[in-house]
Amino acid sequence: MKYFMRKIVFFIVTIWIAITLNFILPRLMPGNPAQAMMSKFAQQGAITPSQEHALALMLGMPTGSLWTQYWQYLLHVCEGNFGVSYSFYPVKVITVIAGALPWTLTLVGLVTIIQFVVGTLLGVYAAWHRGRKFDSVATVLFSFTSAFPYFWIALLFIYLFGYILNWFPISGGYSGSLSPALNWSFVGSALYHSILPALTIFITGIGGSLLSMRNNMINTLGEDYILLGRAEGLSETVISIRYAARNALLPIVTNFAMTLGMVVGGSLLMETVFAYPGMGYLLSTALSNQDYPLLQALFLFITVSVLLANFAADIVYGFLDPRVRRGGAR
Amino acid sequence: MRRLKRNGMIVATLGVSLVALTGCGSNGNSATSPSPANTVNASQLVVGVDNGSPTFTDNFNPFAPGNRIGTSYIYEPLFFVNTINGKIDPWLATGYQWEGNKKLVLTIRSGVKWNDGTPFTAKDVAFTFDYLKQHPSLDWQGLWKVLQSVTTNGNQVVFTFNKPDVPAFYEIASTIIVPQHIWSKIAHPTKGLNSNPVGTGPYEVDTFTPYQYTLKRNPNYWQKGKVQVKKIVFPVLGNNQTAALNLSSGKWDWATLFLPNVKQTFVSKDPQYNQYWFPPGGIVALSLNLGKAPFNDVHFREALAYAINKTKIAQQAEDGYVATASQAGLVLPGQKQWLDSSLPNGGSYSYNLTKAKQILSQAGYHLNAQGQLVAPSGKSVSFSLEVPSGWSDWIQSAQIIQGNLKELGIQVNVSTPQYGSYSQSQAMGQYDAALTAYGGTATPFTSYDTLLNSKYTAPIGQNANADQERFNSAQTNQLLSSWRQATNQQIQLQDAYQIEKVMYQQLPVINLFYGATWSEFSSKKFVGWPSASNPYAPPAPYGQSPLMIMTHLRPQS
Repeated sequence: MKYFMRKIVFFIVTIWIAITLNFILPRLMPGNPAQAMMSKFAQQGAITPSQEHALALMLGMPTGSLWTQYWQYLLHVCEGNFGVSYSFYPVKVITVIAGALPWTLTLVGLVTIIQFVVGTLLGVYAAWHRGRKFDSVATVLFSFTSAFPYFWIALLFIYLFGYILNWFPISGGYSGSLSPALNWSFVGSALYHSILPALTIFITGIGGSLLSMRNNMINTLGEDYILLGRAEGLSETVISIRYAARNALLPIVTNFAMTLGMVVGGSLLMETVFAYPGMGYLLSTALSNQDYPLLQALFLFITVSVLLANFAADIVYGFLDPRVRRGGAR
Repeated sequence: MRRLKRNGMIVATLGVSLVALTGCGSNGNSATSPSPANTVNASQLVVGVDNGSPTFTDNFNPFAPGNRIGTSYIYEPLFFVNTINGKIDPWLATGYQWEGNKKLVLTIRSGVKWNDGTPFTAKDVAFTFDYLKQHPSLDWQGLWKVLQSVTTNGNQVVFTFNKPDVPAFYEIASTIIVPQHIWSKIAHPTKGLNSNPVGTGPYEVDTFTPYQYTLKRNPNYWQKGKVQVKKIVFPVLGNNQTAALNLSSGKWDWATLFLPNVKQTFVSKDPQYNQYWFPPGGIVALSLNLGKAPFNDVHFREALAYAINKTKIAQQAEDGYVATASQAGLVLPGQKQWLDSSLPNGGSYSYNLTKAKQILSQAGYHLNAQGQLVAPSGKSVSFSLEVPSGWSDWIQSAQIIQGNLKELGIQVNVSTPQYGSYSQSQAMGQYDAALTAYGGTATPFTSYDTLLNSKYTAPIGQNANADQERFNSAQTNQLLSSWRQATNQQIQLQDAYQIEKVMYQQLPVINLFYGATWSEFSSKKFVGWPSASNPYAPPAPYGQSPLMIMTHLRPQS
């Protein structure tokens, strides 16, 4: 029990630190949002001196001492009030995020899980049959695919399947003639638009989970308890899955939890290339416009979800591996 | 983000995307944009210009900074001012008259209606300006610093100034007019989304989805007969690469993209119809911090002007799309009526390394043993040149300058900070050198005033709204002040000539090349686009040009 209590206290403290850092960091960045916003207009024509002043007035720059701003910020975070976004002015930050989160969670989340499951299973298979044909082909092939720069492969797919063959739409989350709604034409259009993005993340990502599972598993296969299992005459399936794979999976669980936590941040490159309406695109918009309120809220979402996922992994770990719990209790 | 709006299109395309889903093996692309790619819809224009983030917010609020670009097809100004040549066309106002230099009288067009059917009157005009006064955050041009009152007199609107500011006419002329019967009830003008905009313009909102919106013709429009494009479609722009694919595949009819090798990447895809026109829209210049040595030495600046190969910059960094800029500070050829013909060589400094070296040595500069340029003060000359991160053509220009100045023994470090930091270091005067853009305004006065008038500047370390290079000349201030007060064209011209001389001889900034307005369009469906031979408006699908262009386009016969 002590183990879990400790983890909970640790979790709460990290959250507080994260929230505080989140307050400080944007204020350390150079320039102010009105200037950043001007950059958009600067590319569209001349700027007169009064314009920046007018913008600053409109956006309502933070006032008061840092201390007051901090307390106000803490209070607002608890209420889920992140203010008005600068780049989507006058829409509220929370509304902007609510519009993007489902897209990222569904597409990036699903692809991450599928990629993990498929990659891990293939990794188990490759390690078990190491040195054979599948292993040698898969290891080389997936080292290769996981080294592809994502941007390059995404643009290649767009050019090939979107532009030359005209099979898939080249950007967007759904058809421009539809508004989000729960009906077949919309869901269909969204699915259709998600094929290319999903495929590109899957291809560039699967290598990582396959290779790490394979290498872990090869390590565990050299352990004494595998030899013992063999000597006791356990079936190959039992040894490979319940002894080797289960133990090899332990470090990967943490890794996977982290990745799941990061899903909330979206896939920045994918979403930028495909103009996909998710969190990654929001993040890049917020960054380039110095949209502090949106930026803070996004970082907060990402940090909290990574911490939550980590926390969950710690808890699960405690059950999966009794040594962790005992180690603390002594 | 708001959804669920006018649902005509939704029903119509229900079938389309289902077909797309099942038949994605063959020709599923119909789902992205149901009309242009496969069946050319001759009555609608598809414009790739509005970038959602990545989706659109249903915001047609003319006062909100992040509004949809389509907003400028809906609201109109009093005059259309062509920033290319400064030509003024009557729009919601039919004429203007200065009475002295502190009173401007506009005559308002009769017979104009708002798109909800309410008549447009002079009262709406006066209301709009009063509205800006009540909400200083809307007064982007700072009009109420010089205005005293705006009153109506029948179909006339009278602007009274508290001090003479004749060029303010251009700002009044281009102010977007909003209806009193709608906005008088809105207390927080920028807080609302304004999804159903009521304007006098040629178009009104038809359908809206987060990835695409369409505008249809305003049935009450005062120049109804001139508007022949029935529908305008704005899809999400997306990133540069996909936007270029959409344009070259013919899905879009009009876009404003920087395309490398435009003849190959765009025109050659459909040579009969695909066209582009990249007119100069401003000046890109090297700004040197005049508050620091050696930049405060005019000889040093003069040497730099000769040592920088502007032709190479225009050719390499800008793909040869732009011309080198005259040092006079005018955007030529559009503003040629302002150019003092006595300036040598059209006011240009041509590349001449020998001359640059000669000027430096005459001014007491020399090279040390390491080949570095040493100023008369004994300090070796090196500086950093700031360009916003990601502005690749500017970065390339900066690198060419770096190479050029190496020939003089000057070490230049090109730094690429984020825009916010770039703009801050200029405002505070903490930079050494930076590339910057100015000009392209309807009257050169505005450009000169913001560039040179030391009343906007501030000491180093304090925020300067304009004149960020910290030029300070009593003579120039005097000239600007005389120009500001002059309603007489001849006096304006004389002041302009004097200021051009200042620009040419004192080099407050070193002009490099003209920044272009990117515009690619297809005449497959519509003809009558602006061109170099008929520059009736800048060819941009944003700003106020669309009002002029949409009243010029007619169907390809």
